[in-house]
Order: sequence, then structure tokens, then C-alpha cells
Amino acid sequence: MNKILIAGFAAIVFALTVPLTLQSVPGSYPSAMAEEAADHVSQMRLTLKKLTDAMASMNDFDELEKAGMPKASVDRMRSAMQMKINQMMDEVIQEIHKL
Amino acid sequence: MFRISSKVSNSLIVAGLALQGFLFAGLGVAQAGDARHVNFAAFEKDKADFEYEAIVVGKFADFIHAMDGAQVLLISHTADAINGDVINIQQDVLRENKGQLGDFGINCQMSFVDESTPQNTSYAIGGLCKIIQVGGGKDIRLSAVIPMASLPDTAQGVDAWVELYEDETTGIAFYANVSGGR
Repeated sequence: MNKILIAGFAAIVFALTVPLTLQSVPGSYPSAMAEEAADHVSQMRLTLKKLTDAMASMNDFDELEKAGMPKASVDRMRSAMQMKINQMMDEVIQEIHKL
Repeated sequence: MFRISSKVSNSLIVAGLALQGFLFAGLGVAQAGDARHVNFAAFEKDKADFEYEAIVVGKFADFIHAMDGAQVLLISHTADAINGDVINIQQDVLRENKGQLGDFGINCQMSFVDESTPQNTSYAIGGLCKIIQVGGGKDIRLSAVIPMASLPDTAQGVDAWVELYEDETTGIAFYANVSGGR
């Protein structure tokens, strides 16, 4: 649940930050900073996309169990997916810090 | 949307191949407990009348040749897999278009099980694969549930690939086997 809250928080920060970082005069130092920020935002958008897909797939493991896969295997896969989610969460937070 | 593989008959075929492999075991080509590599391949039909085979017997070149009518989406080789490994296989493209992120490709998470004994080898794989085609007017998000399926072991003298799953809508199919050595 905490992870979902953090992801929500990341999305909100992302939404609030983008308009501010892109407002600058072309060719100026702030413009270069804006471009760099735009790169981070773009990277963060990709990671967020993967993050939300990964979080949604956690429910799919129930279907695997219904299909007859041993519970130990399903639990291992759930755990692996959770680790991936945590890793992506860390990446999003790092991108936020760069903004 | 969920689809579940109905390739139950594959298990019987693989069992038959395993028996064949048992006959080769006397040649000492493979032992239970040796490192095994898990091979996974995905294809997409490019000819409407092409039919996937449940099992393709032959060397790798024969396997690719048998897929004349489908294009390779990915081929993956996981070296030194051991019992309980969770194998992630992902090949997709995130494409930005008019402020929207499209996604095209495959994302699989497979569980590898090695239940070999000193007397016999036994390998299986199963898991989840997402087939994603979102963007450019398409909106397909398919979750393919792949129950545990026995895999042929090329190190046992059985060169074969088993079909794990086939989706009729997208024409995408997954195959796998196990190989040994370096």
C-alpha cells in the first residue's frame, strides 16, 4: 500500500514540476537547464509507465495459481515482481531528485 | 483479458521425447544436476495460413526453418538456470506520439523448475506473458497464462522445441526448450 502511495506521490510531483521547468527563454542558461529537466521528465515518464504496468500485473499471479502452478512458484514470481517494482520506484525517486 | 495455454498434449509428447532421451542417456551426454540453459523464442505470424506446430523436432536451424511463415520476435538464452529461477524476458518498444506513450512488444515472467533426480532429468517452465500492442490505433493488452509445461532437453540427445502458448488474435506464439553444455 505504501508503494502505491509513493507512486502516487511521484506522479503528483511529476505533474507539478513539468510546467515550471519548461518555461524559459531559448538559448539562455535557464533554457539548457530546462532541456535537461525535460530529459529527466521524459525518462521519468517511461519509468512510470513501466512501473504502473508492473504494479497492475501483480494481480495476474492469482490467475497463474488458478491455472495450476504450484503456490511456491507463484510466490517466488510475486516476490521477483515486487523487487522489480521497488527498483523502478527507486529510479523514479532518483529522477525526481534530479529535477 | 486472460488466455490459458491448452497445450496439455505437449506434456505427453515431451514425455515421449524424454523416453527417447533416456535411450541416449547411455551415451553419457547429460547428467541430472548439470547446468542447463533455458531457451525461449517468440514468433509472430506473417502469413495468415501459417500453422504453428505443437513441437518442432530438429536442430536450431531446423526450428527456424520450420517457422517459415512467422517472423522472430525474440530469442532468449538463459545460461546456467537452476530450480526456482524466475526468468524475465522483455522486448517491447515505448513510443511517444502526440504526448501519448504507446507500447508494443512482449513482457514475460517465467518460472523454471528443475525436478531432476540422479536417475532422470525433468525440467518445466510456466508463467505469465503480456502481449502489448497499444498505440497507432491498436489497444491490445493480453495476459497469457502459461501453465507449467515439460521441456525437452537437447543435452539428452533430443533436439526439439515445444510450443508453450499461441494467441490466435495476434498470431504470436512462444516456444522453449532446455540445452546443456557451453
